[in-house]
Amino acid sequence: MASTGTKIEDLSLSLNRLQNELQDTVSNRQRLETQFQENKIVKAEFDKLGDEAKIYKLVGPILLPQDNTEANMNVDKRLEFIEDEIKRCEAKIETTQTEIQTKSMELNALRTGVAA
Amino acid sequence: MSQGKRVDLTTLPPEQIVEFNRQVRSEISHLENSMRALYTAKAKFGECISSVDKVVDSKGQQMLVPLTSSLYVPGKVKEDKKFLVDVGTGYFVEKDAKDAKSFFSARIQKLESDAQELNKLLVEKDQLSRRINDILRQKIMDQENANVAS
Repeated sequence: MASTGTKIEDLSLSLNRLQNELQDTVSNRQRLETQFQENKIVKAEFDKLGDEAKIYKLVGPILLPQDNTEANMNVDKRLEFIEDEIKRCEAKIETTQTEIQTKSMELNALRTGVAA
Repeated sequence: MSQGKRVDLTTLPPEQIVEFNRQVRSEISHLENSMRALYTAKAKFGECISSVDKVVDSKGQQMLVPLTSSLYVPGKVKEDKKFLVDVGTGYFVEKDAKDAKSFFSARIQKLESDAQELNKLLVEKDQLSRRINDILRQKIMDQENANVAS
């Protein structure tokens, strides 16, 4: 029965690893969401501006004047990028969750087998 | 709860109820932290509005400009009609006093509605935690009664 014991150990180890992974991805997802919201606010603000409005970008400690259209494009690109990242993150969360489910089911089956 | 699975708490063993309550409590403290963050942000925007009010129409006025938190240099207001407003992610936009103030008030309003939502959630969670505690107490009492009876 030693093999079942090591199997259980292996399974719970990988289960632990998966759970940590899930936690990391979830917090990653949250970070992306914050960035997404912030960029959306910036975009909404840019949309309200007239053509003659001056936009600056903070680079290190200095403010650099920026071209209006360029700034708009930058934010659009960033939004797109973040959206893609969010999708990737969510897919990963889902796969990790199903993996955790199958692993924990396996583990439970093994444990009840040992107990019986 | 979040899995949409309905479980009757009274059927659970006390250890699981305690664990569940601990979870709810940690959610509550997380929400409380967010609430505090919202209030600090709101206060910050409020300060921005009063700063705009102080600088507008004060051309030539002397002031001390902080270079670091412990080093100030004397300066004069040269431009009292235009303000650079941080709109987020490192972008700053030039606005006049009216637009700058309305930008900050819009931010404050948004934060206020967020805070209200958060508060609703907090109250809900608090009630949930209290209900869990009640059930737990009932359980323990039942168990003690059973022990006495046997």
